[in-house]
Amino acid sequence: MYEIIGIMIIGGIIGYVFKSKGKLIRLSEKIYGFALFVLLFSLGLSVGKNEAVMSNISNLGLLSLAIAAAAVAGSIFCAWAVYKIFFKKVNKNK
Amino acid sequence: MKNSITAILFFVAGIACAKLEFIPQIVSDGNFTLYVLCFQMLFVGICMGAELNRSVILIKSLNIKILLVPFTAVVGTLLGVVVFSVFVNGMPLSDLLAVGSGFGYYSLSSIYISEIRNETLGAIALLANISREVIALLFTPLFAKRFGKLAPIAAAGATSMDTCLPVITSAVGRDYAIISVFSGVVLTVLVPFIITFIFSIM
Repeated sequence: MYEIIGIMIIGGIIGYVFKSKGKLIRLSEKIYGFALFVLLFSLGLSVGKNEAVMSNISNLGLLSLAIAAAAVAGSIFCAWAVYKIFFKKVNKNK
Repeated sequence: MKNSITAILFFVAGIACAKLEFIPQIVSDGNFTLYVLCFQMLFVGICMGAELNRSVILIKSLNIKILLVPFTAVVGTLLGVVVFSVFVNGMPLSDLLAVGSGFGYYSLSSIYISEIRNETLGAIALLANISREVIALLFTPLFAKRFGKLAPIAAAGATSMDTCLPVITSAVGRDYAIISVFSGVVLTVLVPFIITFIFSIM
């Protein structure tokens, strides 16, 4: 998996070098979007082929929603604390 | 929103094709997705690299405290998932944390996780992170009102830089737009690193 990050960093360097080539960057965005749809389609394929997942799809959906809700709840809680401690005072001083 | 619907449609189309046993030869080849993922990551990198200068200018214009915002989203997300893991049986904490660490960036996290672990967890990552985006879109006004101006930004995670930016700025004010973009950019870049880190230590 480090290889994948390495490839991303190489891409980053290429993008930095060619940042003034607007056409190339817009093309990269399009290619990225296209590759994404291919990948999501193939993820769907492998999920569809997998009987264990398909017979359990509604539970997985529910689990996913619960993970998202937990992540959001934790984020809001921390953001609320940080806002109270570090940000609110600044606004009052202004 | 339009993008996440399109993403779900492609995912569902994949499931439908598998059910109909219409499986394109090239896609069912084991390494195909890995190659496409590598290819995609190259272009993700190019897009990020091209934005680097603008990001540096953005960071320089900010108060040091702004760094706290994406950090808050990371800590909050991991904390929420750890608490949640108490109620889940038969799933390792690392899997749950990795799914949470998509921070709403469903495209990258789902594919990345399905390559590292398996397609089941990839599907969970896709659904969970799209859910996060939708929750953030729908409840931003409520979060802002009840929990302060940073709450919707942290809740939106990586999506606070694009999809959720309009609702966030309309709820907390234009002066928080830069913070929102900054937090989203940092989280977007962090996604593959945090997921890799979680799987390598747990």
